[in-house]
Amino acid sequence: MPVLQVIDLLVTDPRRDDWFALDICRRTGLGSGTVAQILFRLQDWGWVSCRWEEATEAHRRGRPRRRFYQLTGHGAAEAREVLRQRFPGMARWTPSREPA
Amino acid sequence: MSGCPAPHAPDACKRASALAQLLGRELEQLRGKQISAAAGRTQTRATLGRLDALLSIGLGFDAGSDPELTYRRGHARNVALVLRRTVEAALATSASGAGRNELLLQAIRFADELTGTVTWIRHRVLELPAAPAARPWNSTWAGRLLGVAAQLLPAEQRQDFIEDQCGNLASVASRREWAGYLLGLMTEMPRVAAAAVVGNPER
Repeated sequence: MPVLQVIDLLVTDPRRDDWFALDICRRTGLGSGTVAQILFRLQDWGWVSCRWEEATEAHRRGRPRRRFYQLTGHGAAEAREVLRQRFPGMARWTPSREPA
Repeated sequence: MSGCPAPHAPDACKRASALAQLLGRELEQLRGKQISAAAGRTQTRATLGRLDALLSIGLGFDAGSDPELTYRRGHARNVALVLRRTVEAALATSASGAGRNELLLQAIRFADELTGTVTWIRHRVLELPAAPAARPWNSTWAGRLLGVAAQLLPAEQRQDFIEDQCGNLASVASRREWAGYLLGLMTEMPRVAAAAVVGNPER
């Protein structure tokens, strides 16, 4: 279920390329450890890609860099399919744009 | 003025400026027919290629709120673009004697302009305040704790994991959120480690 919560959040904005762990924790209400596990798994499945935040930007704010995550095209399609299967009766929105 | 210089920008600007000067001299030689057209073409194109590469590094800095620096950077890019176009037109085999000469003259002026602009930029970039150094995150209290917990992770992932999580911890809104976030990581660390291991059968 926590995985579904995370992918349900990520598909709300599949083009967004700066999801980060703390933000996901806040929006889903999941714990940091749970979110960290899920992000490792989603990466391993190829559903999300990640990159480092710009060092200049992070250092200007006086903190280390964060990792940013983005749904891959494959991940977005798979995530929607999983959500459709798990919640067949639920009316779901369909984002008009896919990640590049 | 509140930008941050990219670490290699001043050095790349210095080299780009020297290269633009060299290009000007090469174009002079071509104009004076001191070297053959074929040799001049090869030499000039090689210099242009190196100049492009240096400019992409030298001009890739954060100009912050310095409007003049931003303007001059745009100007340098534009001049480099027009310079390349003019040189290519001059080197084209179809260029006639007089027309070619005129194009080479223009290109020499553009090379001079680029030299001056990039030199100005270099001096200004050196005046930009250095980016404040990041706190030594792995020596903070949380960083040390995470360092111990991260021993469960594969060695090549530890530093990245600690830096990422310290970055998240530094963005919390309250001490309560900070404590909850750190505690969540510590208590779930064995599972996080299991998820991080590539090829884990659970995945």
